[in-house]
Amino acid sequence: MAGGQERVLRRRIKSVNATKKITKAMELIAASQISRSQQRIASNRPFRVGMASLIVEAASANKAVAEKMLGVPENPKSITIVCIVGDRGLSGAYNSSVLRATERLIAEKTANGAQVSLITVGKKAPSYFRFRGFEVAESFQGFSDKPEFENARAVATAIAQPFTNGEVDQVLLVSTNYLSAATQQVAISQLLPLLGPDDGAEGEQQSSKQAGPAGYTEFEPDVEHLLAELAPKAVEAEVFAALLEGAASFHASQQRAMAAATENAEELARTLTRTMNRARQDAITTEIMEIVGGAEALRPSKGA
Amino acid sequence: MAGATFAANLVCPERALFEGRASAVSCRTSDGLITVQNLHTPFVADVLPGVVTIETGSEVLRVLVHGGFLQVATGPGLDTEAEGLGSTVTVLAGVAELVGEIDLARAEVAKSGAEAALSALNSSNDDEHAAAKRQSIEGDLARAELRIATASK
Repeated sequence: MAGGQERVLRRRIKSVNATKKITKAMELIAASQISRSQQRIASNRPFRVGMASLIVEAASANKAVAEKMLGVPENPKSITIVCIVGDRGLSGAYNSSVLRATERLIAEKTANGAQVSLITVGKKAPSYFRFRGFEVAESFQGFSDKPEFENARAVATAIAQPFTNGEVDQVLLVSTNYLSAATQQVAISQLLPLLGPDDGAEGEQQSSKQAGPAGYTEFEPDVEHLLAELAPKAVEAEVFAALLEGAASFHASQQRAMAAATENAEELARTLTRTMNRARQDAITTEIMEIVGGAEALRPSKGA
Repeated sequence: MAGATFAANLVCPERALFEGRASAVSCRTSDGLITVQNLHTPFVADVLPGVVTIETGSEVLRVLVHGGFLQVATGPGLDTEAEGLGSTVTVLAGVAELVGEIDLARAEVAKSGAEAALSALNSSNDDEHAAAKRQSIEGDLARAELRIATASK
């Protein structure tokens, strides 16, 4: 009986160790992906900064046009919400925190009387929302690990078309900001209409630094046409940046989750080994007792 | 002409293709061909698909861009390396590649693929998604043709 218990424990330890190997491997892969994703974010930065300063310059040149085309709409009737998550799980709270934030946002906007449509990126999103009875208007998947600009363009086209047709008043983006390897933050930002220089703190700083004396800049074609042309490009850039940050955040959370899983597996294997050793020792002791007892019983008694 | 250089950048979302000093940058805008030299007036324009040339003192860099924007900032302190007045010229392109690096074989494949997809779309034309689809395929086709035309020149 005791030997049976030992065998069961041995099997469990083996399976825990196998799991540990897998989580360790996933941890290492994720760690190597983090630095690559970080690099891609860094090489995307000049483009992002350039786009931002372009919008700021165009907006500050013609305030009337800017007010019409930029800024936060006061009472949007129809809103598109874009949420960016990963294609795979096993990444801690990365997917679920974005999904929960999106769900909250949908509930809030619906309560305010707005019509909400949902566009998702990442395999994990459609099933989550379908289970909860939200309709997903369009979903993209298959590139969350290593997004290309091509992918961002496809997403941006799906977003921008209804907006330029006037069917949608506002487009909001729910994604994860990659602050550092240790901190990622779910963020809600406005994609369309474009944020003017007064709406974003980041843009404001750049305007004072980058653009020279305002009002002297020549535009070709005029500001209105330029902004109309700029808007879809800016959305592409924003979506691409969000995809890159999402990928980096995904890898960072996965690395953390897998490191914790490896540690847990180690701990479990240690306790199981201890239990197994005790069981074996018990078995051995019992066996010796039985032998000694048997021998004692067989020995002819001195007195007889 | 020494000293007439300015800071020039050509960036696309994946990387910066050019960052450094240049003496002239030329590209096609919707109003025609334009060449920007040092101390050009502050200027913002759209860039049409085509070749952007960046002349540095010693060489000429040719980059194929598939549409983008040109920004010229001129003013005191705007060129980090020059004292006083200076210019920084930035070309933002969604897709850009050095002319020498164009993959002609890939462009040919993309072109025939796009043409096939387009004719398949023409024969089916069923739903409202067709318009958006057609637009994206036509974009692919235009890009492939532009690559072929530029590379085989």
